[in-house]
Parts: sequence; C-alpha cells; structure tokens
Amino acid sequence: MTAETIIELSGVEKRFGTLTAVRDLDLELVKGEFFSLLGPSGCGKTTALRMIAGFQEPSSGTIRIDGEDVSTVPANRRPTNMVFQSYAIFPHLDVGDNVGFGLHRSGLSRKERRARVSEALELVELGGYERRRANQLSGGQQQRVALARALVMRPKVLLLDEPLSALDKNLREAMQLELRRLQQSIGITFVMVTHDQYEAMTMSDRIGVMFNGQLEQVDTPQTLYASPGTRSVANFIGGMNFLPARLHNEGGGTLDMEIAGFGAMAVGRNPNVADHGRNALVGIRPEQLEIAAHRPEGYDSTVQCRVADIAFYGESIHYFVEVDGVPETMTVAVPNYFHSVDFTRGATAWLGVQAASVIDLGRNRDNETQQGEKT
Amino acid sequence: MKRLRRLLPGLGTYAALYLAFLYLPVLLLPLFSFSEGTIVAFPIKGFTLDWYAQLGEADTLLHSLANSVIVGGSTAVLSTVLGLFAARAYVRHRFFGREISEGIVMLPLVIPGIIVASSMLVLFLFLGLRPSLPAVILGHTFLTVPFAVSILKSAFDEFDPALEEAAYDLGETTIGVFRRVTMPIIGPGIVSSLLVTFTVSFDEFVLAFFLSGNRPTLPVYIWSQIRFPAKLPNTLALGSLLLAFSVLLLLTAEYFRRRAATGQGARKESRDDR
Amino acid sequence: MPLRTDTSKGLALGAPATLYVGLLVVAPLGMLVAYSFWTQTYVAIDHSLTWENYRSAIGDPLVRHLLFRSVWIAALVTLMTVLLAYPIAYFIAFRTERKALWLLLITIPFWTSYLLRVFAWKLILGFNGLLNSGLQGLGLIHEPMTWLLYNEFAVVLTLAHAWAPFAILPIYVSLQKIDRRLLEAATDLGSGKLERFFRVTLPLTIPGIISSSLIIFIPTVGDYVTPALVGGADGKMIANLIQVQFGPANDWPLGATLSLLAMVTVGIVAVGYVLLLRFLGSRIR
Repeated sequence: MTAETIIELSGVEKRFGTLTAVRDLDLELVKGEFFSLLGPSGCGKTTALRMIAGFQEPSSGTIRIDGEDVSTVPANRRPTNMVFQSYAIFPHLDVGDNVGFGLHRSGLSRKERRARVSEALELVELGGYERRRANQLSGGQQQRVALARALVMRPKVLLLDEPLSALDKNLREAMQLELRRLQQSIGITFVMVTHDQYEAMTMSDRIGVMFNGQLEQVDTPQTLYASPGTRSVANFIGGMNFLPARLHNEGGGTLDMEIAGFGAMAVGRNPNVADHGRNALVGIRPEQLEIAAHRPEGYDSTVQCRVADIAFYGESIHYFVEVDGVPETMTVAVPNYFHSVDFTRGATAWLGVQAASVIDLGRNRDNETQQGEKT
Repeated sequence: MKRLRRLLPGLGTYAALYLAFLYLPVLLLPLFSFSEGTIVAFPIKGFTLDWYAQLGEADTLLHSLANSVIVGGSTAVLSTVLGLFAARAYVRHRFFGREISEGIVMLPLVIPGIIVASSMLVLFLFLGLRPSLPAVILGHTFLTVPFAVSILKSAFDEFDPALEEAAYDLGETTIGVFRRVTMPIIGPGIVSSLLVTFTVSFDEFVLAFFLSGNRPTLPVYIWSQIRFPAKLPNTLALGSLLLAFSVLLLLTAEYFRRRAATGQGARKESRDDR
Repeated sequence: MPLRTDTSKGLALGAPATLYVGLLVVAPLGMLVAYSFWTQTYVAIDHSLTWENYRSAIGDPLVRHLLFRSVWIAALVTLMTVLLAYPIAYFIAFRTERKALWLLLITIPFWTSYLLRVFAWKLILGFNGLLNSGLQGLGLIHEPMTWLLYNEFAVVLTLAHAWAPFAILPIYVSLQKIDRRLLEAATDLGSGKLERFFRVTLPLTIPGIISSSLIIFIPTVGDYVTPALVGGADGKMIANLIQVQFGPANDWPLGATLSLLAMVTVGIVAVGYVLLLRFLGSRIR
C-alpha cells in the first residue's frame, strides 16, 4: 500500500503577540492513520490542532488537506470535523438533532438525513437514542454523541481534542480501545491531541511529541520508546534513568562509551539523535534493569547498589537505588511475580543491564547553557 | 460544635425578622388600598375596590402609564443590545482595556442619581434635546446598562464557547451559528435582561423627574399625587398595582435566568426549525 | 468569525456600551464643570469664567451644613445597613441550604419602586400614621409620637431599609468565596469560633464590606426622594438643594457647582474610607 498524504503542514507558525505558540511546524499525515500530538499543557499541540480545524489562522506557513491549500479557509468550509474536549453537545437539542446538526445544509432530504443520523448512532453503539435529551446522557455517551455528530459529516480528517480527558479511568481505558477499533473500521484519518502518554501510545499509529511550540520527534510508539531523539522526549514517554557517559570511539553502528557507574559498554547508535560529543548521555528504562541479591549472570554490566526507597504499585514494584558514580537515584521496575517484595530499605543489591538496553541520547547538554535547548 | 448549634436558631430568627423588616412596609400599601377609610391608620375600615375602579378614569394616569411603557420598552431593548455585545466581549475575549471597560460600564451604579439627572439635563439642553421621553430613554438606558451586562455576563458564563465552534465546524455560517445555537441558548438570559431593565426603568423616578418635561412617567405622576391627601387612597391602589406588576416581571425574569443557567433554553423553537 | 483576533473582536463588541456609558459620564460632567464657572443673570448665562459660584457656595453656611449632613446621614445609613446585613449574608452563606431562595427573597423588594417604598415609610411614621394609630389603638401610648417623621431618624431608617439588599449581596459573595478549608485550618490550628471569625472570616470579607459600603454610601449622599418625603425641614440633604437650583430657583450654575461639590466630597470620603478599612484589615494578625 502506498502511503497517500492527507494533511501537509509546512513551516506553520502561530504567534499571539510576543508569544510563539507553534514554531516552524512541518508535518505530513498519511491517509487512514491514527496520529497523536502529545505534549505537556501549553506546548502548542491544541493550537496546532485548531489551525488544522480552521479555528485559528497560521501566522505563517501553509496547511494542505488532500492537496488543497486551506490555510485561509474557515472551519465551516474545511473537510475536517472535531470532537471537542468538553464534547460541546448542544444542550437545547436532543441526541438526534445534535448528530444531524451539520446535515442541515447538506441538501439531503429529511429521510436521508434521518437515515444518516441513525447509521452514525449505530456506529457508536447508541442506536435508538435519537430522542434522548442531552442532559440525560452520561459522560461516555456524550463522548459518543460528539463522535457520531462529527463522523456523520464524513470528514476527510477527524480531529479529537483531548477526547477522553473528562472520563474516569476505567471508562477512559475502555474508550481508548473502542476509538481505535472504530478508526480502523471506518478508515478515516484521526488526529488526536493528548497530554497522556499512555493514551497516545495505546491508540496511535504515529505520535508527534511537542515541547514549547516545537515538534521534537514524530515516530511510532515503539520507536519513541526505544529510540527517543532527545532527553525531553525520553523523559516524557515512559520512565527513564539518565546517566552521564564519556564517548571514546564512534565506530559504525556502535559507540564505545564509559558510562557512569556501569563502566565500559558498546552502545548501539540511536539514529534519531542529532549530534554526538565526548560528553554523552545515555538512558536506561527502569524495567530493563535486573535487580538481584547476588551478582547476576549473563549481563554486559553489573554493579552494586543500595536500596534507598521502595514503591509498591501492585502490578510492579519500584526500587529507588543508589549507585556509586551515578549522580541521581535510579529507578528499577520489577514485575510483581510472586507477591513478594524482595529487598528492604537500606539493603545492598546488584544491578545488571544489557548493552542493548542502553539508549544513546547523544551529547550531554547538562553542563552546557540551557539556552541551546530552548531555541 | 454544641455552641455552634446553639447559635443556629439565633441566626435563623434574626433572618426571619430581617425579612419581616424588608417586606412589611411594602405590604402595607396593598393592605390599605382596599380600606374604605381615606387615611392610613389602624383600625382598617371596611373593604372596597372603589379606589382601583377610579384609576381607570384618570386620564393623566393612563397617559403616564403609556409613557412609562414606551420608555421602559425602549430602554430595555437598547440596554439589552448594548449589554449583549459587552457581556460577550467580557466573557469570551481577552483584550487590552477589558477591565477598564468593565469598570466604566458599571459606573452608573455608583453615581448619585441627582448628579446623573442634573448633569444630563444640562447636557441634553446644550445639545438641543428638550426634556422629553427620548431624553428619559437615553438616561434610563445609561442607568440600566450595568444590569443588562451583569445578567448577560452570567448567561455567557454558562455558555461553553465550544458549542459555537462545534456548530461552525459542522458547516454552519456565522449567522446560522447565531440563529441555531447562540440565540436558543442565551435566549432566556436575554429575556431576563429585558424584563429586569424594563422594571428598573418603569420604577425609576429621579431621572424621569428631571428629564420627562411635560410628559410624566408613572413614578413622576405618583410623585405629583403623593402631595394631595385626598388622592391618597388612589395612590395606594396604583402603588399596589405597580408593586404587583414589578414582582411579577421579576419572578418571570428569575425563571428565565435560571433556565439560561441550566442551558435548557428554547428547546421548542429549534425543534420547529427543522 | 473565528479567524479574527481576540483583541479586535473584544474591543469591537465592548465598545458600544463602553462608549455610551463613558460619554454619558464624561460629557455631562464636563458640562457641569463648565456651568460651575459661569454665572446666570435672570435668564441669560454669562460665559465668562469665574470662581464666584464656588466662593458663594462654600461661603454659604446652609450649603456647608447640608453637605455635612448628607455625608453624616449617608455614613449612618451605611453603617447601619452593613451591620444589619452582615449576619444575613453570613446566614445565607453558611447556615442555609436554600441559598437561591433566600437571595431571591432578599432582592425582590429592592426591585420594587423605590418611591413607593419611601412613601410606605411616610405612611408608617406619620402623625396619624400606622405606628401611632396602632400603638394608640393598643393603648400603649396616648399621644401620637411626633419625633418619628420629618427628621434625620426617619431618613436614616428609610434609607437603611431601601439599601438592604445592596449591602447583603457583595458581603454574601465574599463570604461564599472563602475556601471552607481555610476555616477548618483555623480551627485545626486551635482558633476558637470567635477568634476564627475575627482573624479569618472578617478580614477575608473586607473587600465585600468595602463594595457594600461604597455602593450604599455614594448614591445615598445624593439621595433626593427620601429627604424630600420623610426628611422635613431637619432632614433635608444636598440633593434637595441641588434640585431647587435646577428647578424653582433656576440657578443652573449654582446647581452645577453644588453637584460637583457633592461629588468631590463623596469622592474624598470614599477614598478615605477605603484606605482606612485596608489599613485596619492589614492590622489584623
């Protein structure tokens, strides 16, 4: 299958007075994919989405949808529809009128409109809810109505602004899978904005991570997790132990490094990292560390540590450990196999790690000025 | 906690007495308006509806009533329109000078009435506008804008801006969004504002006294009657009607205000629209 | 619609009301200022600028007396109204579940005709009025009390009644805004009920008290109806004199001067009051 571009943003910027909300955004989205814009609040992801929707005009740059330049086309004439964070269910209309709202100007007959509405409601499993009042709906139902109301327009792209943030945890997790299933069955491109890394990872084909108005990395969830391009991305997605290192030799696919606390290792080169230097930074995911009472066998590096603190999460146990030569406390996540917490606070233990689990994060900017990272 | 509970009935009793203090003077007017006696004193003598019946024959009264309705109606429309724009600006937009603008709009509440009245009289005459009903309308609009703005601000506060965006996103035009979403949802707030501003104008005396010239509004007419003891029973009857009318309008306004707050406004209209 | 900037749209929407109200504040006051420097001879206005009006107004003991009495009465009314209103606001904020009903009950009388409410007090307090005839009927008094009507007391009582709801609402709002956890924290830190009220609740409601007081005090200084109806000779206020200048006496320049003097007096007293309360508020520790 050849990937066909549906949305293309090039050089898009949005400035509000002196504040730049989105800077130099280049992004190509493929027909039929589930794409998420992920980032902390205020990172510009919602502004980016609202520019795609047509609620805000870019200060510069162009937005193309299906090949057509829509940069100055207002929202009501764009082939996109939006599911709002508050759902924005019209309180004065019933469910059927809410879903049929946008068909008003479609030129369809009443009968056809009614058929489209009930079809859309079936799709979100709310068949027969036409005459329900908006205030009789639960949060999850309102979410489905908002979805049906947008999908009934048969948009080329469906935009979702934090669609699950108003739901409680269990419902949110169920809706994640359901939204994903729905997207796959209808094949429309979904663009979702979220600040929840797990939501983005479980639902998306690809994720764009934004910080301070800047798109830092676009990749599949697996790649983002395994090969984050920057320290901020590594830190935002999943937990990460950061370790300073010395880069001795840059040869081909591997980098020879001297890692604080763990000693010499040959670390695989991370293709997403822009720039390397003698002062290097590496990361190790907490679940990639083995913790044992005795020196574990078969690891590329082992080191002794002290257990400083313990956190019990139910499905896993986190040990916060101190290692000589490592400036920050490290986190080790162990699955709760046998309902036992094996180490007590203050105990001495051993850590083991494979070179393949060590993530190359490029030049260590900690000792340099912070300005470089901001721009 | 025991001391707290002992305090409870004290405060409740005080609240009840306070309500009595608020209401009793006002309720005396209707009470004595049915009395056959021509002075207001205990004991009440007999029961009659004559005083009310005589009102229908007083031509100047009917004229002043008509004047008040014209003034109140025009004032209500003008101040509600001004208030609608301003309230929307204050709730929906963050702009330079918003706080100053909000402050200015509330000024009429804190300028002594006599100063508003005398200074407007001077200005209007300077501009060639003799005391007349239009002069009163301009003055009352000034006085009632703060009320319209506060009521409509709370209507917009309850109104999720995403609703308009959603309608627009679903292909509606700007006008269509206003007609199909904005109006039905803030409609009750608008009705409430119209009723309240009408009532304020309908009851206002000092400005009308200065600006109405030879076409008195109802309160100005009542003022002229208060001085004649012989007219007292009729004045009581008229006052009672006015009180009843004001309370009725206000309760209606309150009903609409609450409908606006729960977002259940004007459901029927939009159904007919389809 | 959404492709315009926030600022320009906000300004455009806010402008009509702001300009209307703003112009009707500035222009008439400007005219008053102009008039206050002019003089009138019979019907003709002499446009040459002079301090004469101010000189004669300030030099007139009657004016000084009326100004002072207006401020004095307004201060009494404000004090009385706020003191009476505070417990009610407290009751609605903390002691009842039916807040909406109470607020409605409190506000309804306010919306009814001010003129009629004042008139009602005249009927109650009069020589042959309700209070006198009622008490005589009950045999509690034998002669009508004459001190009820046509004096300062009648004016203060009537105005305190008229302004009651205006005092309750701002205080209620500031009480309602208090985070209940603050009160629990104060109790937790060992404050007794009274101490908690004076050290936590009261200071936090000072903004409410200030706006209540101003919203009562300022219009009251310039009140016309109440002193005219129930004030008699001893209860007249500055507004009555102003009305005389614009009406029967037909001396607009003097009327304008008196209006401005009243405004300036109100302004000075109000600012002084706000500063005083802020200072007192900052002293509570």
